[in-house]
Amino acid sequence: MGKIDAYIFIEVEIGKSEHVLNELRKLGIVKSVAFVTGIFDVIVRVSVNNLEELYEATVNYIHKIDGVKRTRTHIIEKELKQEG
Amino acid sequence: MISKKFEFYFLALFSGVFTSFYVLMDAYGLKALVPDPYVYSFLCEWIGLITCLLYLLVLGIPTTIKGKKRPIGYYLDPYFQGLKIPRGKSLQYILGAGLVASVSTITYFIAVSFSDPSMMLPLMNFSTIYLLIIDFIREKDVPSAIEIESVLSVTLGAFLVTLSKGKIDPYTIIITLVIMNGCSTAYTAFMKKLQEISENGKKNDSLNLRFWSLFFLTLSLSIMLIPFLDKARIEMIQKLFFSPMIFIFFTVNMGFAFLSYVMYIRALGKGKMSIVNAVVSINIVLGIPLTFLGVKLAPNVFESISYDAFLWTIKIVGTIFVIVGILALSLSEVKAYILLRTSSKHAANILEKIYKIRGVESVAAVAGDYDYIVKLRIRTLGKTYNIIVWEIEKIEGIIQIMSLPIIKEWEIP
Repeated sequence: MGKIDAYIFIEVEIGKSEHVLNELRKLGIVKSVAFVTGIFDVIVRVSVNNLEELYEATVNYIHKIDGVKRTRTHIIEKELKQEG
Repeated sequence: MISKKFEFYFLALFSGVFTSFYVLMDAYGLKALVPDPYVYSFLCEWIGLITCLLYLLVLGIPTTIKGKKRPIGYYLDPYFQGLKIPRGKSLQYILGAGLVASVSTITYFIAVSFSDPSMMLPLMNFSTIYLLIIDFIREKDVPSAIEIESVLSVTLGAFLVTLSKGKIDPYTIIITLVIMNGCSTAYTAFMKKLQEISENGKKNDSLNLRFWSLFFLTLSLSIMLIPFLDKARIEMIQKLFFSPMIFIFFTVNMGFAFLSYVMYIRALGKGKMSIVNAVVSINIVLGIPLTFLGVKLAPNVFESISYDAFLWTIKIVGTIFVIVGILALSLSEVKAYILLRTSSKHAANILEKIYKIRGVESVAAVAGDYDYIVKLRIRTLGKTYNIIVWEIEKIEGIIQIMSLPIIKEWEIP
């Protein structure tokens, strides 16, 4: 079975960005972390083997990081992507 | 509204364009009108100062711009509020700028009189590297790696373009690297400082900065020129100063210099010193076609250009370095996520349609709050970003667009 990729949008408490970033980088499934301006603060791209793993990562890891206020997960169904 | 970045490059580029005009006029004037460099610079600075004062007085005439009473000079610099006498810290820096400019001018004359100056112009380009180091030390605007690379590319290119045949004279090299470049670096640093400080809550405007630095330059240069002004030269100055032809020539020449400096000073207020200097180096490249034009228009004044293949190869390589460097500086990477919601009856091939748009790195159909997540990555002057968003908006079925510009991103391998 192929891998499942997803975007997780995170709203972060003011002043906790650095901490959240450092915690996210420890998570093995994270492919990229981007600080953005707009309705969310951080967009994380993850790659997991199954939905169980995604559930584990969000509920048991990301939600428990101090400073994470709210998350929204978007599972990628189909993607067109430039190589590199 | 013009983006800040566009304005910065516009100012620096056009400063370079106007520089190439007055450099060409100087070359013409020194050969055809006033062959003596001491008399030339004396006339140039004094007539330049008088015309500069006239420009400032004309630009100070109040007019109505967007319903507000403002001087005409508002178009050149929004901070301009008519001629004003500098005071306090500003006065000290302007005095410093005028002084270093006069020292470098006089050093140039003295150096030319006893050594081979052919290495001087190429080496003067290295003052950009001095500025790069100062930019680096000033913690406020540390240049990024791409900026350092680009600035070095421009500097090396400018060095190659200005190379000419001649002896390698150690005196010229030391004088240029220490005095000339030291002075021009100090001038730029003073101007940068003057853009940052304000007197009584009012910012210094570039028009007054140009006028007053020229004022002190002219005064101190005239004092330094006294020992060189013998009877013959004084007579020449007296004769030429009141010649209308000479007066018009210097009015136009110093008009270009005025525009060039005003734009240079304004650009300094908006960005890093080394980058402003690098972009202004475009004048060295523009000098090549302008010299060809000069040879066509005044063949008896400009020596015909040599067709030494080796020198031309070097010049072309140098030009490429300059242009590539400036382009790399002005194009920067913009990255953003764009979240899309679509209506239930949207087109089936929406994924492909979005993916075809230039600048789209990836597009993902997702399950969640939004329906599509687009990632943009473009190297651009800023305007393109909006164009891409409009292109996406045009696609049928998209009902909501949320754009999230990326401030900083880490890829984890």
